[in-house]
Amino acid sequence: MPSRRRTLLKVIILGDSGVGKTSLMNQYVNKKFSNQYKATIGADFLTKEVQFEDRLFTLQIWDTAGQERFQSLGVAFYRGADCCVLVYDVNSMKSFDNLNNWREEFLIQASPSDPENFPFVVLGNKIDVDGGNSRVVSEKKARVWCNSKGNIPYFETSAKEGINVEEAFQCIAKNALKSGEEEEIYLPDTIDVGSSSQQRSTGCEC
Amino acid sequence: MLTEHKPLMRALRRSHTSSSSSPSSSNSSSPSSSSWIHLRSVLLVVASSSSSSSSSPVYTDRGSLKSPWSRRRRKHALLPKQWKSFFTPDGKLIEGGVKFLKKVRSGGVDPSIRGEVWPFLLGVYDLNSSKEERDSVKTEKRIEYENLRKECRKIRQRNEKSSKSKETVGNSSNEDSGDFSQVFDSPGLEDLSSSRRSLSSEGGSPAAEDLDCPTYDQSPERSSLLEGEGDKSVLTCEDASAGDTESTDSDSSDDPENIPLLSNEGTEENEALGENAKESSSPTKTESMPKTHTDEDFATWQRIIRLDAVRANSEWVVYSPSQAAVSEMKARRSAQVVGLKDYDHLEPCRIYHAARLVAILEAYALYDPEIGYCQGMSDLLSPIAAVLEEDDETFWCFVGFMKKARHNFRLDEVGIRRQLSIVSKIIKGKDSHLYRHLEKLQAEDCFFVYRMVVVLFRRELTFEQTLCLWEVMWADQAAIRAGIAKTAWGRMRLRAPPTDDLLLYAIAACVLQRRKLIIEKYSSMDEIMRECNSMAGHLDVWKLLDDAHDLVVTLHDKI
Repeated sequence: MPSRRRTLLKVIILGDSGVGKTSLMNQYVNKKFSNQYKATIGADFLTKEVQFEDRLFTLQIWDTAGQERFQSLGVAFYRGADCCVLVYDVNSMKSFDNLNNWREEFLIQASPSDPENFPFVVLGNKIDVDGGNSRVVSEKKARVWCNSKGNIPYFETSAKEGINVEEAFQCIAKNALKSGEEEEIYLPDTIDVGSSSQQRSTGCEC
Repeated sequence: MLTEHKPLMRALRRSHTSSSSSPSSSNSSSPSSSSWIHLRSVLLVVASSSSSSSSSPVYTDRGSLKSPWSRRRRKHALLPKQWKSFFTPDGKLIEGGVKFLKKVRSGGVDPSIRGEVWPFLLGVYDLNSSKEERDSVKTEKRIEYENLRKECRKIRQRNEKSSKSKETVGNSSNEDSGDFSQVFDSPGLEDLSSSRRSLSSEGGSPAAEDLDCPTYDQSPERSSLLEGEGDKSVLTCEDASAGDTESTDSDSSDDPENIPLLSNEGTEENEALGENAKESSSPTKTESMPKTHTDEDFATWQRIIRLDAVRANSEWVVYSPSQAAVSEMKARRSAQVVGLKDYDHLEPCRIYHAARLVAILEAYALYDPEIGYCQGMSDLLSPIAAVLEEDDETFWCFVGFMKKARHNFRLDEVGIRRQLSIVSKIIKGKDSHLYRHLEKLQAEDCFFVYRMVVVLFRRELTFEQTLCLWEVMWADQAAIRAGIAKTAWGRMRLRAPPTDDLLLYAIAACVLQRRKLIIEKYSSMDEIMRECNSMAGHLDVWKLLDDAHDLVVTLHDKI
């Protein structure tokens, strides 16, 4: 069967309220920052075209509500995700602690075919705040966690200053694409869900 | 196909279908070879052009109906003079409020009297009440609100104290892990400890070896283990303003709010708790429950409330000159009183507004702990706070509003699901063609109108439009509450009876206004949602109500 070329890559951004999910998305897509984004209700998305190895893709970035109460409705929005971005605020320990819940919740609700290898990317946002003085989660600590979860790629970002945002999303797109290519295996008529053991390289240092 | 039993497969196929058949609406409208395109702008163009094309009438039979709104442009809002004329000499509304509600239902309320009228619309005052009765209700309710506020401050102080305690142990410089709270209660250390409060109140940090499964255990012993490298800056940081805020707050924590308003400051805490218990589960209960759980929930709400309050929009400012003119000193003082943070970028009137939102939302979370605080509620409160100047009145109007709206925020999601399913039924009943299309896209659950339901069009309509829609909706609900619907309205031979669900008809109407676009252009739920989330500025509230009314006429007895 000829390889079907994917054009749409779906990315979901998750994390506690106020960690900067909407800001990251807008900084990446629109190159804008505002500290007045209202709380996201339900979900919303923006799209951006990305080029990767001479191919064009539409990156569809889903911004979600940070308050847990909306999570079970989230299933409608998580469906078909190619990559999940977990965001925390480096100035808030709790938002970091909750990464694990967000990850697990995503795996339950999106129920990807190969949860072990589903691509996540972790972003520690707001590194600009107070010149880094109010930081409570160290980079090392975050990396330890990421490594323990199968070498999740990790970036430290500032949506406000636009630091590392482009790089992070490059990596996100790349991982989404890889995940998408693997999914293509399932698309032909014969489905063998069990044979998805293909290992994805972990921890892309893109 | 075999894939059917796997939800992910279906979802994948959905994306494939949508991307291959029409590679997103934007691509088809603007084939582009350049690689880094901001599709959003393209999408917006599509959205705006389509909304104008879809404004061709969906309902051709409207002229034949007696809609209270179709002739809106010839009707006026309820004006001050007329409002006065609705009262008898002893201050009762004539005809039990029927005339009043009918008027509001057809044209809304003039901005100059909203503050007086809303407590009636929102059930704070009974439609049959006399002036005297209302005065006594007002006094009672004010005290009840003040007591809720007192309780909020107590909880906050307790949380502050407990997090201070954790800090003490955590920094392990203090050998005495016993009665540490006393140490930090001494005034000299107040600044230091309060400046660190917010950090630790973000939650107990799990011990390093627990990283795999973050825990909420807040016991001091645990957090003491992990003050590691990343935390060394903790002692000296936090921006100065936040430190100020909190120390001032704790200085003034006894009776900082509305001091001049309340003559009977001495009201017993317990009395208030008794009153609360009547209407919602009592805060006293909270005390007897395991502290960690309930306090943490409330602490989470407190955090998110503050987060949302400082990002409330400023659209209200032009409609509320007196609050817009608040002095910087008063604004900052009120912010300190409720422990607001991160507001330095805001102008005084917005600081003041944010502080009021915090005070009222916190009190609400205590008053209705089943709902607590959920994002979206600040969107609902902000316009009410802009119209009403006193916190206690604002609070009770908000409570009245939330009697129905609260279901949208229920943890079990029963409320929101019911609403979405009614929207779905309305669409199905009115337009089977569109409904079949939605089914084909697996979008018949109407998730794409989720935001409209939760914040009642607040994100889609302007400030003034929102208030008009809400007033009309409140008038319908007030009529039903008062049992007027079946009797007096009936005698008026209105084609469309008042309904509790006018909002849902309006939402369905706004989807139906875009039926052509949805059927012809959209091939996934995503695209419909994008359309619904981009409606801001494209809606005509009276046309919306007009169409909603048509739907009520045809469908109210079938839904």
